[in-house]
Amino acid sequence: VREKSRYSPSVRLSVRLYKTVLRAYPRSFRAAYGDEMLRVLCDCLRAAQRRRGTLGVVGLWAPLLLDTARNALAERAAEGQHMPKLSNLAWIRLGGAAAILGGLAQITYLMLATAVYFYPDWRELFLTYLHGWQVGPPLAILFVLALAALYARYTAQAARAPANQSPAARGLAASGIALAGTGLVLSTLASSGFAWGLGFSRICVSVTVCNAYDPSHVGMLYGVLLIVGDLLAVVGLTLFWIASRRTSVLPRGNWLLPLAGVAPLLSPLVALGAFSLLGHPDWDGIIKVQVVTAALGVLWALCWILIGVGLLLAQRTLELPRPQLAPAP
Amino acid sequence: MNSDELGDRDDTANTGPAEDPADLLPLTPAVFHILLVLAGGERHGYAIMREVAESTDGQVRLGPGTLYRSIKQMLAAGLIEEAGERPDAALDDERRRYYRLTSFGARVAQAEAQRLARLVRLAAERRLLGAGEPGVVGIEGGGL
Repeated sequence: VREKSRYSPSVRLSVRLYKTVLRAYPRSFRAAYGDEMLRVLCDCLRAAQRRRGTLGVVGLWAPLLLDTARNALAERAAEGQHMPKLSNLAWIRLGGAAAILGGLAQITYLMLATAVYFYPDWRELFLTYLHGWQVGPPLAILFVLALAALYARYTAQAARAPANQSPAARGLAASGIALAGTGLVLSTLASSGFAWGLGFSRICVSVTVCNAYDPSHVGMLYGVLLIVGDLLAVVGLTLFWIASRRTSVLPRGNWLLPLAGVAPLLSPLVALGAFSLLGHPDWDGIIKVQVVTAALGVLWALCWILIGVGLLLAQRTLELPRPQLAPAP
Repeated sequence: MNSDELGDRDDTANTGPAEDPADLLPLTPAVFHILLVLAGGERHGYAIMREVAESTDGQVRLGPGTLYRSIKQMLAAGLIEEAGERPDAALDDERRRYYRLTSFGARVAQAEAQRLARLVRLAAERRLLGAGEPGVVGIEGGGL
């Protein structure tokens, strides 16, 4: 598909990104249908651009990622292929990109979720294209990829410095990643259960817990799952951080991992505190707290972007030949 | 694009075209929708996607992955065939691959439609369709 100059920048960028995403499909499937899929996507993007502008183009991405994840896996399974065997460095690159993409997606989502309060006309569009269940699962996949990359970086670094490696530290790192992965998936999916998605859900949780907004059992269940997931993520990321320091994977003073774990928990805490002070919240009160919780969500997303940048920089270092150790006297 | 998964009817792709339409039933929603669109004539991928969305009031939106996995399996099962490449004047000058229904595909679509009609009759008999709507009364009376 030729990227013609009359296409808007968001359409051109999306087409380029989708070319990369298409690599998830088996080579034979791509060869047969890749160009057609790209052309169809291009038509969809142009139609979305005409109808809703850039927001419409952005809104296509969440269902598109889901569509790709489901069909690429099914197609690989049908062809008897497993996921391609990736080297540690490939995992680190993939996970680094996933962390950055996830962080940027989350910031965009939070900004839109907050903007809806001030531009009610966007509400229908938001609920149509960016419903929580459309955004949560792709984000959960990106988080899992980022965690896999962190573990790949850990093992790659440990292999370069065997003296620093111990089975206990490796077990601690693996447990930490597994716990953090479970927690992040749980909390992300629980967040998605709310109609307003990730940005609003943490307020809903807080207010639900206060029994002031939605006393339904379903809302309470989502809230409990979300907070349990966040707690698991904090514990997991902290365990991995401790193991990483022992193996010198992370530079000293790197608090990004624990911060990435704690940051999401801050939103419900702030909201809970605010509503405790405000009492039964009115609409203005909810909007103010939403802005604060969205800002905390941006902090969380920034942590993941920085972690992603760190992974991409680290894989360059790991590509260098191993230092030759001097023989022991 | 909450695409209805085509169904993991990969056995059709592996074992070649089936002889009897009933062997392929029930069809997945995505496959049936594509067959319905192609029953109206040759279409390219985007036209199929658009017509499915329009005919279902946006309730079924096929993503590119679901669409082309379905097409791949339908080609393998002999339900559809390629009808060459040509531009769509209404869109742009890009050449697009067109698909059309085979006679076997038409028979399969017909068999699936009859299967669904039987289900609707059954639902009406069990009073699962809203009473009082003019169309539904007809169905309850065996008007399908």
